[in-house]
Amino acid sequence: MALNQNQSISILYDLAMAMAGETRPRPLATAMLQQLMFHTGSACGALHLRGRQPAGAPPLVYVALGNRRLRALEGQPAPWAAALDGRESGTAPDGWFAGGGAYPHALVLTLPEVGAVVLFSARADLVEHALRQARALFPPILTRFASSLTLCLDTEFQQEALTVARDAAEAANRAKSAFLANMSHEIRTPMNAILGMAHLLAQEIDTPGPRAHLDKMTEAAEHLLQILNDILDLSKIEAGRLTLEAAPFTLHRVIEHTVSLLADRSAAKGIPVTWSIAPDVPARLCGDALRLGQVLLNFVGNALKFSERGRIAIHAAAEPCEDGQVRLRLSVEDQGIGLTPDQQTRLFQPFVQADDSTTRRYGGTGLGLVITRRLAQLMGGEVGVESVPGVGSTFWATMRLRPAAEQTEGAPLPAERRESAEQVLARAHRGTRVLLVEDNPVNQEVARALLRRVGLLVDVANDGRMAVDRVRTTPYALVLMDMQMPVLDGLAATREIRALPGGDRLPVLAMTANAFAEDRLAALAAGMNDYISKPVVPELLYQRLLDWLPAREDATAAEPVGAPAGPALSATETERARMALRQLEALLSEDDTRAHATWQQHEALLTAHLGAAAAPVRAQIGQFAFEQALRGVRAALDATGQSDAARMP
Amino acid sequence: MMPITPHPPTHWTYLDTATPNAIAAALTGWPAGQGVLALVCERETGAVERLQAAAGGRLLTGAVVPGLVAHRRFTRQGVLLVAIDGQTPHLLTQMPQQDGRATAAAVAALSEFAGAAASPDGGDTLFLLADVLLGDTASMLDRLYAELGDQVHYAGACAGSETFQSMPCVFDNDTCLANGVLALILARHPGAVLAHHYRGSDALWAATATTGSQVETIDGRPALEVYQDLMAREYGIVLTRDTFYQYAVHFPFALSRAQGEPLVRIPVKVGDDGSVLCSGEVRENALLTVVRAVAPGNVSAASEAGASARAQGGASLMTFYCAGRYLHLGDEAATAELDAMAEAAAPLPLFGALCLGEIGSGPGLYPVFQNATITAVPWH
Repeated sequence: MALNQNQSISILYDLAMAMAGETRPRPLATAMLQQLMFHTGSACGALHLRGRQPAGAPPLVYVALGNRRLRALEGQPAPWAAALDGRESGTAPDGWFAGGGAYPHALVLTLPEVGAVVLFSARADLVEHALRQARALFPPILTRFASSLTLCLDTEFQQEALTVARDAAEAANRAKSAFLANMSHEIRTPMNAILGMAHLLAQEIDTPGPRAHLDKMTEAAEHLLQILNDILDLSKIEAGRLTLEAAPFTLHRVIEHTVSLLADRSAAKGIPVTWSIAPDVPARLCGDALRLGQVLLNFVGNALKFSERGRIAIHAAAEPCEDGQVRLRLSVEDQGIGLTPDQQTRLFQPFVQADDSTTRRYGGTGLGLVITRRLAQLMGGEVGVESVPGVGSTFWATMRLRPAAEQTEGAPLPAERRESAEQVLARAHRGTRVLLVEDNPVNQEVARALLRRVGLLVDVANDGRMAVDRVRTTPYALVLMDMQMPVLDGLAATREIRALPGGDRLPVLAMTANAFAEDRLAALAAGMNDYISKPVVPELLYQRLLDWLPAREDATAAEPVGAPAGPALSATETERARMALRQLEALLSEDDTRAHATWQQHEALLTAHLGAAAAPVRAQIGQFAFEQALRGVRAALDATGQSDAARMP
Repeated sequence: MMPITPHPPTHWTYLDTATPNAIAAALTGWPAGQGVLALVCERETGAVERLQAAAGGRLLTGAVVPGLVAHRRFTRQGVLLVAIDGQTPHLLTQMPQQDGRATAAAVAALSEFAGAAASPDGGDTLFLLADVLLGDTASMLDRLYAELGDQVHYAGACAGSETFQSMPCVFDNDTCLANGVLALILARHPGAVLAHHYRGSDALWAATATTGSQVETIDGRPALEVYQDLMAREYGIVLTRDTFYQYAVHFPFALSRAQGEPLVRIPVKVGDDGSVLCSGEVRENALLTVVRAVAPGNVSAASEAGASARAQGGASLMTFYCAGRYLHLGDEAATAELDAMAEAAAPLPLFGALCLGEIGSGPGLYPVFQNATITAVPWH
């Protein structure tokens, strides 16, 4: 039986990987022998060395596996060597070694100038099969193996300690990533409660003393959250899991946005922030505006932190690259405390500030600059600093970006509003009913208060099951959905809502402490419309609500999504359902797994069309029991004379 | 190879409620020298203590499993008692792990036990019931084979909870262990027959970072991402964390071999970091493919396993039927496989368990660790 392509590639790959990185001759030989036995099904085998013996001396068994009597020959002359010399295979009725009578069949794999691997088998058919593989596949890899083994035998240098150290470091890194992901969720959940409650309290407390205490508590919590975000960013970058967007943006909007974020701090310290863009910078660029803003925010934030006087100046310049991109250079100049040359060499290293006294005086983890450097590197650039102690510093970052066409409309940064999102919501959507799905009582309280403050009517469901039930009976304009919940989680609940008649039109926004990109993707894949991470920033929550709440007249006209859609499908819908059924019939009859996706695509329509017959078909397709599903689909089509099978002569 | 027939009928009993009285009554008719291999449904772990109390002077060995096979049907409750020789050499041992692998000392203890207890001339079987959470059963098997070689045949299964929660799941008269292995030496026994008949796709992917059964990255990307891409492209299926287990049983990973069926590895859990836990070890840098599970109604693997095991002799047939295969097929189609296996093995009685990984080597063949497989073990 010929090998298929997968088998051939897998064998060669396994053999190559068995060799890769192994420099100790005995483990190398053992691993290769075991791989050859594993793939060919041989019960035992040996590798004998010929080339290292004095002229005329018999080859010695170097490694043997699979049989105790065979293993006892290690270091001894190979009894089969003479009889099998120069042959590809052979049969000895009494076996090829003492006590090896159960294995009369042998396959010889020659290792040029080194010796041979001999595989012993009880079955002639296995040897014949392996022989064909050997001729077709093995010679190049065996030649490579022979030269590697020779090199290892010659040098015998020990790199085991290095290998162990590397493995331990990788394991530690993996453990760290897993730990951080868990910690992220666990910290964000209570942080959401702390920041949310503080935000609500701030609306109620006017007395200066308690209000000042509350502001300090909020500031401390936000600082803690920033540290958490920095650590997570760094871990994502180090794990290679941070991917950059490539969308058109306008640089001056990024700078304006950054300056606006720091306006309060700048005003409080009396240090103005100015900015300028050189004429050679394209008006629009293509890249990750969010991450670019993060770089700038870090530089300007540090400049404010380490300055007590003067001003801060942002400058952007660009120079063309040979491939049509531009090298953008952003610099931030301050008149702060400055850095000595020694301090400069210690910047941009994880968990290191300029010196310990800096930490004591100004606080911080030192992660911001590390992240900034890694982000710049991801964008094909670098970072650096020029500084004079007592005079000031200029931090700079470069990045390679593609100019974007002027007319291309990218995702705009948040536009300035005359009214805040909160105000617009309160004005335009007061009285709109939304469903909050959240299992944590404190977070329920926080979210409910935030929503009520803008006049929304809020129903609460403690888990996904309750949410689906509520959606069936009550007309909601929008659902805010936690992801991790008991009974039925947010992903499953969303899928159920989407399967309800009309459920595809209801905005469902994830609101979750699962902060990683894959969580966002999972939410979107489950059918959610958008994603809000915890701790919830009230203004962002309000902005998302504004983005997704339907215009008021639509909302008031809403019906429960599970409510009966009407007496019957329209003629057009019925025809679409029949077309979908015919498509399913074709796929199912070919045992084509795309039937699964096709069902999901048309599930709402088909459920409405098939009525009670939909459930078994859904279950059968879900189980990939396509033959059974095909019967159900054909029965439905036959009822209207639509089946391909029915049309056959 | 010595055939193991003829044998007197196997004593075996299925108890749907394992009360002390029911256990005592079941064992009353058994000869005094006989020991017991007990397979206990995970819903009834309290039965282990009752079995230990009722065993008295009899040898008791066993495991907690997701479900049982008795009277040609699957059940999620009760206890199966199967007779073994009361003098069967056995070892119940914990397998301490280091860096995701059983320590050398633990593997050495197991191989020393088997090497000393099994006939040096071959022909016995090392029967292993291992905690599924050990995660390195496949390489442990390789390491055992490197020491023991063909001195024994190999048969067995992974035990524990179908939810992959840690629980004590292998036991003897006195102890019930988590992260352990129960090893028995079955005298003059031909090993096990394995068959699954899953078929593969064309795409190959390198598992670039793994720890035991945990596949962290494939082609340098989080394993889940790659699996999602592949499922969408090859099978048109949109896979999410939520629907992961629902679909993974139908489209598991597999490792190709030149000879014999590919080694199936069913993905069972997604980590927060996008890693994928498989019900079986995936060596780092192994090449993965994705196979499609056997179609419901196709009972060829079951017939083949039953007939091959029947040809090895024995008085009855013990099966270890992968819980992932059962999940894929559903009760009706899986029961049809039981019927086919029972008919192929007739008139031998058929009993056994749902399990979480399958071990076997036929005579003269290299042993393998499988998922999604029907294992048929001739029983004395």
